[in-house]
Amino acid sequence: MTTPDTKKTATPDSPPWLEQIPAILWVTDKNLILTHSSGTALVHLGFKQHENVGKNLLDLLESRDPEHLPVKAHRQALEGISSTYETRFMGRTYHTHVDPYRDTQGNIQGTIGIAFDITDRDEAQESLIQKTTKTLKYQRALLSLARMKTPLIDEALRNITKMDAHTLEVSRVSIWFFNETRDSIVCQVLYLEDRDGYESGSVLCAEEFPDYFKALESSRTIAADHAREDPRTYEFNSSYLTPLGITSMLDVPIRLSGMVVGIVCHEHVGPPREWSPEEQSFAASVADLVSLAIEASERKKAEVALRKTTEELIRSNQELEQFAYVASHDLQEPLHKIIAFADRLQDRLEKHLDQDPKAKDYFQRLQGGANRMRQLIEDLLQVARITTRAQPFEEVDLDLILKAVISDLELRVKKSGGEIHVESMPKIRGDALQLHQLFQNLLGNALKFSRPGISPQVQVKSRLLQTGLVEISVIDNGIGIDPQYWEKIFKPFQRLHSREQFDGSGMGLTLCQKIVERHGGKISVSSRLGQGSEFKILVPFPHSPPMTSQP
Amino acid sequence: MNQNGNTLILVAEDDDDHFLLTREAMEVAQLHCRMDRVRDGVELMDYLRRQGKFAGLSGNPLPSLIFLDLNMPKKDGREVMGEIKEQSPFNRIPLLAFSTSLAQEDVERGYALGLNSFFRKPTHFSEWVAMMKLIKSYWLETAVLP
Repeated sequence: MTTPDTKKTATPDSPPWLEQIPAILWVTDKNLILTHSSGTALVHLGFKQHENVGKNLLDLLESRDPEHLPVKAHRQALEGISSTYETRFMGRTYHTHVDPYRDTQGNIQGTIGIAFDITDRDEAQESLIQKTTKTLKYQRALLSLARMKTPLIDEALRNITKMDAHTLEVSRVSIWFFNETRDSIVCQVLYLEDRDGYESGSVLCAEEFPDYFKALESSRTIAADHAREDPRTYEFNSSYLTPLGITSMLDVPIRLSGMVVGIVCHEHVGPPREWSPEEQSFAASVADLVSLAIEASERKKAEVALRKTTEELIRSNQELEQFAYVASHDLQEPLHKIIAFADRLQDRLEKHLDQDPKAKDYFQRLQGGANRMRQLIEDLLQVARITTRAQPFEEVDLDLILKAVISDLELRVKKSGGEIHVESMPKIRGDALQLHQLFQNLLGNALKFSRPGISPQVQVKSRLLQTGLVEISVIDNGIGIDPQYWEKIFKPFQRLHSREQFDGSGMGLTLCQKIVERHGGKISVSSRLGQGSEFKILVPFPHSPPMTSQP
Repeated sequence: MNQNGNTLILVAEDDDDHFLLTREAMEVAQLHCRMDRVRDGVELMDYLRRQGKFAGLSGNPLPSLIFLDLNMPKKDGREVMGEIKEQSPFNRIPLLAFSTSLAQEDVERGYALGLNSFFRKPTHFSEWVAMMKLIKSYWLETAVLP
């Protein structure tokens, strides 16, 4: 069915550029007789250049099956339908496009085809897919290990080795740690894939494998494809590798804060295996996970220990406070009896004592001592009550508290000829009773420690700080405090003056500090000797707007 | 005015020293009246109910006042307070509680139960006397008792 026409337009006349196109081009007539084809095309297909022009395409395709894609595509093209398909031909893959071939009037005169060889691209894609799949597998394995939440290090290591062995398809995966003296490594866990079981306890003396341990210090991974000959791992050959049939090793040091503390070992049994960069990187990540697991377990241990210590401290502190309270409470009773019966005795012996001044003096000293002890115990109890007998916090208007305190101190203020000046005070959250005590003590001190001949001027100020705290200052013009005592004065029973100068138990400021601390605040003093003192209190200011409703 | 002699005060106090101080302070304060003593809460309830070793008191009039020490063995004042105040006819006897220290919760609970007065046990004997004088003038000379 060849025609002279088709022969005339055959390939020899094709322009040279046509030969350069990296694709196969062909044209057929209405009877699917090949009329043109690009040079590379048929050579590529294994035919000689000119032999095919004039031949029926179906013969060349060796198929007349109407469902065979190339046959179907050419038949459809004759009916005006374009098609695209992929086909494998002689071991290669082609992306093929077949169109109707129309003359200038648009009438279908035959078919025109173009095919690109995509074999290489396909292979690249395939290997990419494989690689991606593997990477994904590694990532998934790492993710599931990273998510593993077991504080038990042994369980964590078992999970890690098993997952590692299954992911990298390695016969033996083990984790080793250096002993304390760092002269040997001990196998913490060895997972055996064939048995799906674990072993542990082997010990290797570092001295016997100097090259291996040297390599370990300086490498991120030791990937020994041929472990028996590898300069880093050959030392294991006779005793270990050959007897166990191990051919390839992939070992990764486990580092904790820069120091090698152990090793993750992969041992491959069978024909030598090449460790890919991905596999090496996976193994390195596993080692990182091991060090994370160790850190987590250490941290957990430390946390537990810390919590225990804290609880213990809180408990013993509470016990101590309770003890202080009970002890001072119980000391009170017999002391009160001593005082009361001393009073009785004094009444009974009154006449006798009047005649014996020495006995009377002893008696008075006895009573003085007992009274003083009573005062100390009472103050101690007050301090203990700050925590043991605390009331829940409520909104407290410090203006009202200070008014009440000043009214309590009215007599003393009058007697001293001084003044207490209070600026507007905030409302804070606290224990009203304790806050009353606090200001009673501070203002009381300000009046008490005045300079002779100078009437006490006391000022109470407050200001809101940016930090959400309120600063309250109690400023006096009294005798002042030497800087070396600024901190000391808050300690229990700390006194700076003789009782003849200023009376007191030395518990007042301890009480103040305790109260301020219970309110989440701090108290400090700054002062100049002979010029007055300023006590500063910092307490949290409640964020909620203060209630304005007043009765 | 000297009708104190007929008044009976029940003192619930385990501590001999405190009992002695109470008694002597009452004497000095000239609070002259009859006095019975029990040493713990169990005895106190037995006394009021005229049972146990107090069965013999059956038929005698109940005390006009009760002095109750808060810290006593067996059944302490805190427990016994509620029992007395819940039960007729004991609940109409004025009940005065005494303690060396005053815990806020004891005070609040006491008054809530119907306690009539709460006193801190004084230190100095003169204070004991002053307290007894006040009790005498208020409960025995001013207030009307049932």
